[in-house]
Amino acid sequence: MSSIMVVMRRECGAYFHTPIAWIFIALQMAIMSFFFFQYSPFFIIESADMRVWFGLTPFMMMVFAPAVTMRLWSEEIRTGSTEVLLSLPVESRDLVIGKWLAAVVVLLASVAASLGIPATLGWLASSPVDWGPIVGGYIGTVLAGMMFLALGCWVSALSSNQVVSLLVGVTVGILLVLALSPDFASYVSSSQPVLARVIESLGVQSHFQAIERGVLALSDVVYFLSGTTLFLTLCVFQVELRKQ
Amino acid sequence: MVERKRQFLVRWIVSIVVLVVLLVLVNGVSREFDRRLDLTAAGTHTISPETGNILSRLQEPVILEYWVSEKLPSGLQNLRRDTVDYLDEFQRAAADAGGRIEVKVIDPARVIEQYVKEQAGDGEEEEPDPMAAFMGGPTSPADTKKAELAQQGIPELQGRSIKEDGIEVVPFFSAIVLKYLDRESEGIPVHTTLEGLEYELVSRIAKLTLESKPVLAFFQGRPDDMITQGPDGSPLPAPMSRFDPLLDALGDRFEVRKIMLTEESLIPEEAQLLIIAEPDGTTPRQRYEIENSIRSGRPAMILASTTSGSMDRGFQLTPLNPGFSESFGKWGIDIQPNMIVSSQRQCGSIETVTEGPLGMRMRVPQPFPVSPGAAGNNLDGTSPFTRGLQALVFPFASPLIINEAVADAAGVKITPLAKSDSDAWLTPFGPAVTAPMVTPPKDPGMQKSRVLALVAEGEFPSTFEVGSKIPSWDPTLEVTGGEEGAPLVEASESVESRILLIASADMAKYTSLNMYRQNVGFLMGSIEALALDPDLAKIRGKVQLASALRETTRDERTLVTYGNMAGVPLLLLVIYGLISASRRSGARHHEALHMLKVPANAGEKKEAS
Repeated sequence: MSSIMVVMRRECGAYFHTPIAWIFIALQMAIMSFFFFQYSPFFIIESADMRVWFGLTPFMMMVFAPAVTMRLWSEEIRTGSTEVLLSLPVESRDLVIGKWLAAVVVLLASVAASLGIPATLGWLASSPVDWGPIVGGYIGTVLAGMMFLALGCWVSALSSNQVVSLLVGVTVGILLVLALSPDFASYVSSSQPVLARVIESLGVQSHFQAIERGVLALSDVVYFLSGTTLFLTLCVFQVELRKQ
Repeated sequence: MVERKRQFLVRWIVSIVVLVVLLVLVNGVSREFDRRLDLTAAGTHTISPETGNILSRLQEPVILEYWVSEKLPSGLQNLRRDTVDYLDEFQRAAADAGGRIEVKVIDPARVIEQYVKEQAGDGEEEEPDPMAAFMGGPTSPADTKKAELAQQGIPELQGRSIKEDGIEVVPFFSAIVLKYLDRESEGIPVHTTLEGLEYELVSRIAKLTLESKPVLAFFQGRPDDMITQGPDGSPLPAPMSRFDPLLDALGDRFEVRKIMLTEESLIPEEAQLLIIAEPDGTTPRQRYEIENSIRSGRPAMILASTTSGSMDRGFQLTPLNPGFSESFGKWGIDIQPNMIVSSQRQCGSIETVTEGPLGMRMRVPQPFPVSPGAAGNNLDGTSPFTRGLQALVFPFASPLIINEAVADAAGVKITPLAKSDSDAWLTPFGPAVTAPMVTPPKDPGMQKSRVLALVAEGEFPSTFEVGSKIPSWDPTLEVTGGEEGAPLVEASESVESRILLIASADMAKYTSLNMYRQNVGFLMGSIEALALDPDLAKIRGKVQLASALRETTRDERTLVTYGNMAGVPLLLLVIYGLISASRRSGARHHEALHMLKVPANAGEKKEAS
């Protein structure tokens, strides 16, 4: 456990003592706020909720999670520091979890930075805001974010080139969010109903939408935790493979 | 070495495969035994205890058929899964309450396919009939089956989906049919949202399981006010009451009994709701009967104002005297003797005939400020009566004044349901709508929001003194001290009841409903909520909190938009800059003290030189 914390602290330092995490969070806030206030008719529909914001979240995660995690392993592999890291008396599993937890800290910081939006809603609402779906949306954001960051960790361990890691991460993200979308499921449902069900079960959006609506279902939580476990395990495998 | 790597790979691949299988299993089990936590304040996605109460009365199982296509248009992708989950939850709630619900999910495409096969098997396949196609009738067995389904309340709908080459029109089915014993089925022909589904289902189940139709007592204050022409100006076969079209529509679900509120025509005991339309000159005895009815727990819907108008005959106005001031006054309500005029921004419209090009007569909509509207934040989005409504129009409305202190003292809770816009003003009565009436007053202080509808709830106290004479049916006798030997008012317990007061006598009239169709849903929904099981009103009131935005200024909008879009990111970068500068300064200080032994500001001096 202590080794996980040591790795996490080291990676957190790498994120927050350099502009990486700050720029990532600032950029994410700017883009999300632009879509929320300018692109969507927030002041026209006059609804004090964050459904539009949370609707954008999977799409942002799809791009930003690999951007945050791309350096986690690729950088180490490129500079050769992996050799040193893997020779330390630390389990590969602890290294992977420590690095992933550092990325989760960045995610939590970005969630904290977006708390201005619910504060804004509280200020502008004419009646009490229903905080339940907003809390649900944030829980969904953290769960989905954890899965995408685990995916990014794994993809980062595949290549020594950060750009390649980013591109592969975004591609897999697109697969999970867009290709396995409920839209696509309904597209194939008439000819392949079983395939449609599989697509719906594997896609991020169909699991995220219920949480965004204010319903926290066990199946959705299990889905995100399963995805996180799978990608972290694949990452451990990849790191172990380098050890051999 | 190679062998070791091979063993490593085999071990890991097997482990990952086992993990994947385990995860698939865990996901499958979690879907099968799914548990949901509803985070909404109103529990919108949870079956309420009131539903359990109603479902517990089911003697026989209700069959709930969800007819849904496999392929649904964009925007409704989750509808099937969400609805099936919801119906399962509904079934569980019924079982917990001791009621029985059977849920069947049916794909209409399969049913149609089966029908087509049967037709083909019977050798009854017919050639497409071009004349039938021309007349819009069914041209194939599939069309015949679709028409049959539509008759059963399962129509084919059309939606849009995004395809690689543009927008695709997607025909689909999404309807819910409820069956109970051999009674005529009830249905939701167009089901596209879970919002309010609980109420939609339970209200239909309540109706299905009723032995007879609920009775409504309808009292019209001016029974002589009749119409002789349809909305297009064509003469009607026989004069009819201005409220008859609404009553006809109610006839499908209720047994409507018109009453005169005379000695011979009283409020029926079995009436679930008393509707009072356009009261004018209500006599003390009638008021006594109405009050008794309300105090016995029977809810009332009252459409009352001090003016009635015509939209079809030179906008003539008729003064009204509802005659409720003595009762209402003691309950904290007052109907003011003026008419509300609204700004043109938020009022109903009327069609006026004007001469168009080539001398053609055209109907053009014009704002009608004496029909004030209520929309957006001016409608209570949490009330079972106004939930989900976009806008309402109150023709020739009078302002309702709420005296909260009096209401509190009487034990009556009053909730405004609809208000006019903040620019509305009052105008005194005149024989017709004139230009000065609809001209805004010079003093802006006269313009403010006015209450157009309210609901009063509680145990209404009697306004007739115990021991005094019960008013006579003949109002003239009241002038001379009442009927000799009249029975005396006895003390009686009041039961909790509700009054829905709408400040427009004209709202439910044919001409008005024809013009402002959004009012129909409000009136029908309100009558249902009042007349059926009181639990239904609570279920109907379950709504995701409206959470509407208040009116915002341009400056506030700019502040919010740019504060979040640019302010927060800049703040983050500033924080990083400060942390970074502090770290650099700390590092220099550390170096100066412990490593290089040079003054901490040496670098700065060097730079300055």
